[in-house]
Amino acid sequence: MEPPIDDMNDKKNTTQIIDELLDSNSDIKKVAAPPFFKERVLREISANKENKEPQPWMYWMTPKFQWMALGLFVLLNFAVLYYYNTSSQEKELETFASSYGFASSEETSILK
Amino acid sequence: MSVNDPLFLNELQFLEALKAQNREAYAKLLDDYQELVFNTCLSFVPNSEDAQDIAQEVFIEVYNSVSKFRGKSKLSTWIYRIAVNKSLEFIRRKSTKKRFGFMQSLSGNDMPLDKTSYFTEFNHPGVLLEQKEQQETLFNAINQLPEAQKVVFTLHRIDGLSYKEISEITGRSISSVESLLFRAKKKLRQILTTYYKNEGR
Repeated sequence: MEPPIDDMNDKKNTTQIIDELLDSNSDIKKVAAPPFFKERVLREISANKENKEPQPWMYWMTPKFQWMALGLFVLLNFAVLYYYNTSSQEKELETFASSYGFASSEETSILK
Repeated sequence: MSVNDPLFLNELQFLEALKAQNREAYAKLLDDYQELVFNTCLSFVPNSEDAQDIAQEVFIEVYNSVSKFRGKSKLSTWIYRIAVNKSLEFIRRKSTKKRFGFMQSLSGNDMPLDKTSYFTEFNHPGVLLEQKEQQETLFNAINQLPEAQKVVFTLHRIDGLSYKEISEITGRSISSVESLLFRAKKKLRQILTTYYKNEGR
């Protein structure tokens, strides 16, 4: 059975209305900015600038810098430890050598 | 450096002046972009007073974060992006306030078109009086769309931007923009058909 003509007209009508509605956006006109908008914004910015809280101490120390500083600290520690170990090893060797009479200075003195 | 300084004609120099918080550069920025920003805000929030407040927030945000702008996109694209984000933030904030009752929050976006639940009073200065009701219905329907579809549809059909411009603003590919627009239109047809059926047309 075919739908009644009225129903068909209604459906067509609704579709037409929707089509028109979706295409009618171009009818929206561009408008000018409200009067004194620029002045208002500039005033607001000046007020914000004056009320701006002082920046916290070391505000520039962002997490990126914090990680870098930590890395540098760890690296420095390793370097110092390595240097300390190497020099103390030499000292220990020297002490050992001198206590058992292997030190080069003593050998020379015996030869003399 | 003054506004009439030819150095201001160069976008890079202009940006440097903005980053240095030069007042004259900022006044020029306002002259150049106030209409664009106001109209974009109006496209999302069709209320003159609300759009004005959002536009003001946009320029304050531009002022505060221009130092972070790396110039990877055009300045206008970046400003558009801020305007869209601020407008969406406003809609979200207002919609949360407007959403009342357990039932409504449960049904979310699938609520039938109801002008009283719209997040603001419709007062678009660019809409002719005889088209006000029609446009109000359309803006209500747009508000029922998912956010991504809402942005693409509004920028294209209300703001009149091209696919390429929308793709730059949203950071999506052109094909993704086309697909979102297609889905937005389909969904709008669905919403509006239900609305007019309920209206008894």
